[in-house]
Amino acid sequence: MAITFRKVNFIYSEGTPFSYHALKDIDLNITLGKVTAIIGATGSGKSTMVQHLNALLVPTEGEVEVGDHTIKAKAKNKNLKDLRKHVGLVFQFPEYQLFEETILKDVAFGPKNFGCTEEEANQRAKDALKVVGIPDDYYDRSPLDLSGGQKRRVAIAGILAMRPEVLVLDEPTAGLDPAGTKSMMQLFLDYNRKAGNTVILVTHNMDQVLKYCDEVVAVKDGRIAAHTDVKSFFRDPSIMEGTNMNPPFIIRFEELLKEKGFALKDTYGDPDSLAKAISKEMKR
Amino acid sequence: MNVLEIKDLHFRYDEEEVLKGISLSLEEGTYTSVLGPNGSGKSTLAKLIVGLLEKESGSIKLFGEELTEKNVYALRNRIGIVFQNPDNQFIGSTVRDDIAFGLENHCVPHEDMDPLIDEFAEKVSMTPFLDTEPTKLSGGQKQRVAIAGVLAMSPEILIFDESTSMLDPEGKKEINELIRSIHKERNITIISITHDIEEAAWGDRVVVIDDGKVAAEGTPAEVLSDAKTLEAHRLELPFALEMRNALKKYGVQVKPCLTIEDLTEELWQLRSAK
Repeated sequence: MAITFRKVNFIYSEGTPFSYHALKDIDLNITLGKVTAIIGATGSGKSTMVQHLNALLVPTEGEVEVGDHTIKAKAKNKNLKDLRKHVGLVFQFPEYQLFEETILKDVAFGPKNFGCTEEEANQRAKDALKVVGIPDDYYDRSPLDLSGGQKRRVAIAGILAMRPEVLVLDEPTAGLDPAGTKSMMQLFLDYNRKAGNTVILVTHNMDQVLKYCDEVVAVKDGRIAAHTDVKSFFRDPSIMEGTNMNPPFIIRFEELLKEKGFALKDTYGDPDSLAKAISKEMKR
Repeated sequence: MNVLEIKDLHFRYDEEEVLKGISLSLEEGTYTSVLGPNGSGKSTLAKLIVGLLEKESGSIKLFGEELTEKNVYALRNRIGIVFQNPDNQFIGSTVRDDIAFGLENHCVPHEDMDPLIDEFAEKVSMTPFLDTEPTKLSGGQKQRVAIAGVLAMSPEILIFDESTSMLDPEGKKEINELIRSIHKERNITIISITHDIEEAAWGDRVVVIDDGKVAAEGTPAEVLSDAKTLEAHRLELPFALEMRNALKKYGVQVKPCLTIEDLTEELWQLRSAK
């Protein structure tokens, strides 16, 4: 299985006065089995791009290949249901999309829809709820009575229950408190590291990119501005220009120290290695 | 003078007690950050202060006057609030109309409006967009218009309820700088509800709310360097203090700093002293 964009263009409302060219000649190969961050300013085309991954949007020109499926412009694309079984997409603020009477039913809806038996769907729902940390005495409650953070967890469980090999998340931690953010990110990392799935994450948070991601795709004005591994990404500040992003604190701190003449060796973008490098420099 | 005094405030949604006896006072012209986990009662508190919700018991005094059903409209006119979602608070069909809406509510005569609209649009750097529709604006731009709208009502207290949490980093920075410049220029009392611990480092006071109670209160330096309290309430240490702990492990002792700029300075001086 591979994920490849070939010369993809996408135009919203083509042929109308409101037409908007959101993606321009996108060529991209997303490495499977990794955590890839997609970054860019608001309106740069990130969300448009990830919605192509499960054919919610179909290219105006070009094609997107995901595993055995190829979604082509101006063609009748079949078997989308099968594609969506493999690629789970979690929207921004997914908690607005909860709808069932009970939490268990809400989470079991996806697997049932994709052909699981009632029993199997419920089992998958229970497994997924456990993973996101919703206790079993919550199963029969209405999802609408939960707090914002809990709702978000239930909504994500709804996608996890489909066990997609590719999990796509559009700003999954926006509005969560720091502890909630941390446990959510750990959950996605486990989904990748322990189960070997591919995780694609749209984010504005550069600290998350540094801590949890393997690769970065930077989108600028509907084009791919860079696609590189996380380390090279933070080593070249020019990549981030025009993406409305700021480097993580630790990278900015390292830069400030270097400006003051500190020679820092063997730093890996974490407080521990940086502290060690500083201590060596202080003893010099 | 205290512009806001809250004593033993209780509030419940049906069965659930959300605020369990909050006491808090804010001095005129100060900047207070309110931190706390999701569901702790922060936004409920904000809504009680502006009279969008009704308390169960306790007291809320605004500008020395007890908030009641009778004076809620008069007192609310002196307070502005900016919410989280920029899409939910755009009322006009253009930026100009949106700012005008606030002025109309304040019974400003039509002939006086234009100069005021120009002034507030200028203040939030939205002059080139006065005739633009909201759909054509970025999230940060919409929030700036929302701020212009509340500023037009010349509030004495301004509440920001996670107003930057849906914005990208550049939008966040713009709004934070705008809030700070408003605070400096106009002596408005600011309450900023946020999850961003680095944002809270700026300002006069930090209040941590958890489980409907005030869990900690003090200057940013006092509250944000208290790792135990922060952790107990699902918050994180500011990066500069996390770095201080890492340095300690390798035998480098520095005084607590809240920002990376201060920490850099501190390390530089330590090294120069050798």
